[in-house]
Amino acid sequence: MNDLLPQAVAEPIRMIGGMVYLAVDTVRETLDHVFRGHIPFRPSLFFGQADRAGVGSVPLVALISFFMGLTMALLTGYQLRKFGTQNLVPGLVGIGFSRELGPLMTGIMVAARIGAAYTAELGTMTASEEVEAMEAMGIGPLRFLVAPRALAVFLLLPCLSVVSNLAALAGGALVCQKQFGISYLYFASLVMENLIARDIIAGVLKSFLFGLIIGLISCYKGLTVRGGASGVGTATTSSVVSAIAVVIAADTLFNIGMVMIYE
Amino acid sequence: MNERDHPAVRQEPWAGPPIVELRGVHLEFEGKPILRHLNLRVERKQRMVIMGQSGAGKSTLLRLILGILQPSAGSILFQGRNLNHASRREVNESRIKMGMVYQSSALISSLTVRDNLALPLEELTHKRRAEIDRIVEEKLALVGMEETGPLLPNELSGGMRKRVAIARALVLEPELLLFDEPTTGLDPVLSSVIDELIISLTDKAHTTSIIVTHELSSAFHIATRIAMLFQGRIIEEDRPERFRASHNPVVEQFIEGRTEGPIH
Repeated sequence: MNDLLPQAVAEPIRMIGGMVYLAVDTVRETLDHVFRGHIPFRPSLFFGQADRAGVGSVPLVALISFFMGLTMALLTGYQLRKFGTQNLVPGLVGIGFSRELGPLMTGIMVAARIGAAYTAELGTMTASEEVEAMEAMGIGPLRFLVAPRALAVFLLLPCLSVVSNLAALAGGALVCQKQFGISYLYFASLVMENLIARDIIAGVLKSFLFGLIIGLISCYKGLTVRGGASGVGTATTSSVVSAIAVVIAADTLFNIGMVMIYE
Repeated sequence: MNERDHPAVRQEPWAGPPIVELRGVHLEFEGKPILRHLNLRVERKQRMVIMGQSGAGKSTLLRLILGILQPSAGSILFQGRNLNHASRREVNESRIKMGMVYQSSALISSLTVRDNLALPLEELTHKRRAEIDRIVEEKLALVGMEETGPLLPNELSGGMRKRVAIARALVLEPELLLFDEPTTGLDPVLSSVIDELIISLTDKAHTTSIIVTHELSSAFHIATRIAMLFQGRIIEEDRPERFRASHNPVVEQFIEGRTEGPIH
């Protein structure tokens, strides 16, 4: 037990330290390359990753969010109808998703879909000495491999959150129209009436934060793989679990911060 | 006696300034010493073969020269520049003058052969596309791999991958080539092809090579000097013919492949 406790504390601290070092080193390596008169990385690398992380995730994010919005409207609607307040459903779905569920669910889905892929990919490259070969050639592997991936997921997560919000609203609108007699136009106006800028800004800021977390954790786990194929598998699982746990923890801290500032 | 003064490590009096010099390099992993105050000088245009048991630290030595690993103590000089005290930019500048051929070839699996060779040129130089293409074709032709340009690494055999890795190491015209077990796992004919390639690179391109291997036939064929790494130290370093005649019990046992002796 005495041995387990320090390990349980030491491992997350080591991971956080490693991620901070990775972020700083990636920025430093990228800037160094720029100062030598080169572009930070090939645009095709970034757009390739953006396409994969962003466009490739749209169907999954849209589908899951649509069903979640639908379910949320259905469950809350039936309860609120007892009190004749089913008109609150559009606002509930709108605020719930733009501020909380949209970024959070998108973060979880991207962590599972893209975070796992990044870790497996970089882990395989690490195990087969490809990353080291890049370093040996003087090509910064952090600049070449980490920067475009982390930037893509950082910038694309807010866009995916918007997709999630819209899909959830579509699901909610469908239920409200069919079950509670709220027309699509009235649904839209109720959403607009209830949503305030703070909700949208909070959702966007969260999305950027989650994107950064997922990008750094998945790349860090990939680059620190040890032990060949089984090591890649272990790192991939660990990457997804860590990213989801950290995203949820960050979400909670963010919400506490928002409540302390605004309430 | 200081290891630098050991007769086996002492250099010929006519030797020029070394391209690589390791001074008292000590390296530990998790408290376990891998290299113990090791000294080594590699002169320009030499083909220095480093031999030793598996796990003796030969590949680690190459990683130290590349600046990928940092020694626990001692210094590593490349062209007179101490890599331990160099900035990241300086280390990268030194790396551009080195070419490394990994045992596993370490070609980027998602890039075609042509893109693997073009990568360092695109990332580290300001050369135009046409010039990059010309250099890539030239280096592929040098290793007899002209036809493989559009293929992915996993579509090549082990020997072909090794030759492409050599071509990649050559694209930036390095002054120092590092080979980690270049002929391991290859058939004797292909091994000879790789050996001849290494020799011709030194002779024609005036490149210095450090080759890590424990294949004796290759080692004696390629080397202009051979060093024996044992228990973290260079215990013998000499010209091939003198190395073969060495009376050092470790060297004798290694060359003869005996099971009895100081090597367990």
